[in-house]
Amino acid sequence: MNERDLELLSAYLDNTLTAEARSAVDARLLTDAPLRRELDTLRETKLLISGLPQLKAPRDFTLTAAMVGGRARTLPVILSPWVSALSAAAAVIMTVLGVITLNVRPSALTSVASAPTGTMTLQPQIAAPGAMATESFEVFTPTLAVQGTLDLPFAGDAPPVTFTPSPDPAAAMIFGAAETTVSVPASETQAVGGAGAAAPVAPMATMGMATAVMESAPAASAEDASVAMMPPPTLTEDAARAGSAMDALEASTPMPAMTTQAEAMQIAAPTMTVAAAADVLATATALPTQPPTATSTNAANEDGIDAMNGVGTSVPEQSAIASSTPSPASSTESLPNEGFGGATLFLLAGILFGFALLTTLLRGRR
Amino acid sequence: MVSTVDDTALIARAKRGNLDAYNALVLRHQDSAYTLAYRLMGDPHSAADTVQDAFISAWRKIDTYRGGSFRAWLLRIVTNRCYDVLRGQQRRPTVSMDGGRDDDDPEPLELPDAGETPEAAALRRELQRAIQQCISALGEDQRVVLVLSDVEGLSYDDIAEQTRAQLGTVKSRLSRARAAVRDCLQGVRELLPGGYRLKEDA
Repeated sequence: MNERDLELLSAYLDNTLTAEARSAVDARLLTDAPLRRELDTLRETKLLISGLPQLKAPRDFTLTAAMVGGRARTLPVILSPWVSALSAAAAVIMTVLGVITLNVRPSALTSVASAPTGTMTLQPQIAAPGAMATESFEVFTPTLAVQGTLDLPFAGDAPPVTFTPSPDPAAAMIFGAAETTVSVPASETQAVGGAGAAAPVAPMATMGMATAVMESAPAASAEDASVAMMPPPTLTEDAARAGSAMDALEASTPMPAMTTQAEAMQIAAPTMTVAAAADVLATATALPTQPPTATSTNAANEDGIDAMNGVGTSVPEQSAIASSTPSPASSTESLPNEGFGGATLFLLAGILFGFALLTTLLRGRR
Repeated sequence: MVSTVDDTALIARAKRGNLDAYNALVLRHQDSAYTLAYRLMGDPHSAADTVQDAFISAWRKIDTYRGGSFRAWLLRIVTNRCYDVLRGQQRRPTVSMDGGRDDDDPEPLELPDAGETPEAAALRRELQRAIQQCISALGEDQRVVLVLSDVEGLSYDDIAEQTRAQLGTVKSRLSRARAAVRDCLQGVRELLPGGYRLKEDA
């Protein structure tokens, strides 16, 4: 008996042949006695096997808590598909929020600029003698974070600007190659000598590979300050192509006279200059004011220092500042560090994704 | 049908971590699981150990049960455990064609058959032992297919799914396994019931 006939007969016994194939086998069985005998013996064999009785288990196979690790399935709650799904969903949300956080910076500045307290407005006002303006700011770079307090030189016995560099990997991760953020927290400012509102400063400058984002919302009470009001500056926005940074600049309508040049950094010049390494974001005509003398003790990162020098230069120009007591409601405090926030969100998203993946894998193993 | 409904309720409770509910399922299906394991392993000790492992494994995997026949799902786990054990251990001859048996192996318990004479019962048990030995003499792949088909009554498709084999492979293995058992039983034809062509042709 060949293999094919054996398979045909076996399938015939199980009634799994097609009608056509079964008819063909039936036709052969009528004339082929060996085939018929083969079929009979296979049928008897199948009956003998299927006639084997069901056995009784020699003992109970019930489980005890000890046999299953004594944990009576507390783990499945953690490994529930819902947990994995919720973790994955939360991770997606975190990722989206992280992206939004990073991309929203210009618009955030814009919204802040339009806020009642006012930011991004550079008022060309000169502070009264003796008035002191204090600006604290942070500079984030991939390798350097500079933090310090700038006491403006015109504001009486102002100490030199001091910076405290510290690496900030989170900011580095988010900002990529090189992005520098200079943020000048607010002090409460009231313009004196007119209805002019206080002048927060929020210039942004792209410095070559680095972007210097200076957020400033100073608001200093200037009760006794005599302010020499400067003509409202006009902002030349021929650098509108600069993208998001320009969005913020566009929002700050009365912009102070300010010239941003890639080539030069002229702190002492009557014309305020913010030097950027490559890209020029904005060009404005600066009105002569007191030359700033702010200096930095940190020379580790030229880009960062440049950015800070730019801050130091620009601050006096909006110096309708009499007192610099930081307000709890200072706008800088309310402004999150987008880079750090984004990094945190991405980190959380990664953790949640990992958790979702882990629970899925563990559930599959079980 | 009632059993299926009850299984569903017990499974739902077992999925929530109720070990008592799961043990009710164990008691309900342990004879089937042990029978399958014994037919595949040919040894009561190995069969018992394998079934115990399979029930522990099934408890841990019960979240993966997605409905259908719980018995079929459970027997699949038993089959896989038997496969693992059979493949993991060194193949050793478990059958001597002279009809001898290992006296160390306890006689597997059968469900009682009332009204049977002691002589008939003894003869029947001897035939069953011979059939089991012939089954155990098969290769693992043919043995699993034969048991799943002719003992458990699974369809070709189900067997193909459980053994992760092609349908044609299942058919081929099954036909060859039946022929091999038939030939094996020629050696114990005196035990065969009267009227069997198998006996007459011997």
